[in-house]
Amino acid sequence: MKEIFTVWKHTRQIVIVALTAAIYAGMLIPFKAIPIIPGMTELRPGNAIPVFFGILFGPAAAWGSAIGNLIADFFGTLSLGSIAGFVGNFLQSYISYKLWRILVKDAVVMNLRQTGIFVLISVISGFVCALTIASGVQFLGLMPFRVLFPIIFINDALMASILGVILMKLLYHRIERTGLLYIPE
Amino acid sequence: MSIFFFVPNDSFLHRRDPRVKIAGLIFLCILAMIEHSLYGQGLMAASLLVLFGCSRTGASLKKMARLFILIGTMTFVLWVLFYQGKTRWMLWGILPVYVGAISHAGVMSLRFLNMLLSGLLFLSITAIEDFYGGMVVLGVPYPFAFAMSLSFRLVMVFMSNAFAIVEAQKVRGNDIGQGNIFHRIKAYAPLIAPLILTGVKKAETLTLALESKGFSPQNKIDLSGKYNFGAADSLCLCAMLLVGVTAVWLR
Repeated sequence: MKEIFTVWKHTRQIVIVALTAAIYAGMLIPFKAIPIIPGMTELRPGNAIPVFFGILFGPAAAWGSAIGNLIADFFGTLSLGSIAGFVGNFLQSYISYKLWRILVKDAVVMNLRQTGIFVLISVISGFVCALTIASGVQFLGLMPFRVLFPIIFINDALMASILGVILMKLLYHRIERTGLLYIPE
Repeated sequence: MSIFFFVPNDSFLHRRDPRVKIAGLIFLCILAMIEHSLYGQGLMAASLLVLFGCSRTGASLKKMARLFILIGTMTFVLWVLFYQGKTRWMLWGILPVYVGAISHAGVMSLRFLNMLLSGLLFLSITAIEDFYGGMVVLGVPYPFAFAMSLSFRLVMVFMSNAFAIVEAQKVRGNDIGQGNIFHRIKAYAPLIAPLILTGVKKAETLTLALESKGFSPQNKIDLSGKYNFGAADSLCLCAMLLVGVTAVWLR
């Protein structure tokens, strides 16, 4: 848990927080969403970022995902519900990082086992994120839990599972070579 | 052109100290939460619209009107269908609608709209620099406020990169609007991958640039001289307190 706060003591980690936030927010807005129920449910490709970056950059990515989601809310949908969004996105990214560290001990090759683990992590972290946001929003009396929970859960889990696996295969080793991957102290 | 909602005017609300604006946003959101009557929520919505008029920020409202109407309508319909009362009123398809569902849905959708309107008003009268300054003066840890501020600046860069990548991929025939959901999700990978790589490359150079300019997370920054908490700001806080106490008393 200490590592969540030590992020703020290192310049490089702070830069990663800002970059994760900017990439996440910058991706949520311009990439056209895929509507499932027009006007209500849509799949956002940016939702793969908290899981993917969480695995790469650890707690810095968790803060970045939380801030990125808040920045996206600054494009007109800022409300008290943004607090739930902040916490939910933080947890989604942080849980992904933690579970990946626990479940994957060997080199990342994205074979069938690691792909399966990645999908499992996407589903679990998406579940926690959806649970947090839907509970928070229901508590604030903004939207019914029963409606919001499945929307967020499907959105997060599906996007992270499919797009996240592709991004891991395409980019993990390239980013690893930059030396920016998070290594716990 | 700014992608944010700030409208640079010289209105009474624009001139307020960022601390008062942040406190105002929190106050309005809490007020929307504690108010349980349709009249109260309606009055709050009307007051917010007046504030938009007074601060001459109607342009932001116009930009978001369609989305807000859609959100308000969806929230209303959902609460009508999912409200669980004691007495059943009618059956809508397979879903029972309970007595009191309409007024409950009205309050809830107005509450959501009031929060969104409060947020939009805040964004329309507060520049990003002032939001950052307000956070620092309010005592938010400097590294956190700095990361927020840096993200706001970088998001513009990444968004323009993202638009350029989408256009370039369209020319190459990668159409994200074709095929089933799984095919379309896969089609996003060639769009997102270059954007992520550009960002990651920036991380190293940005760290060096910041450190060479003397940035350190342990730095202390003093912005207290930049913002003057005047009599009008105190008046605004008193008005908020008065409205808050009245709202609680009327409950």
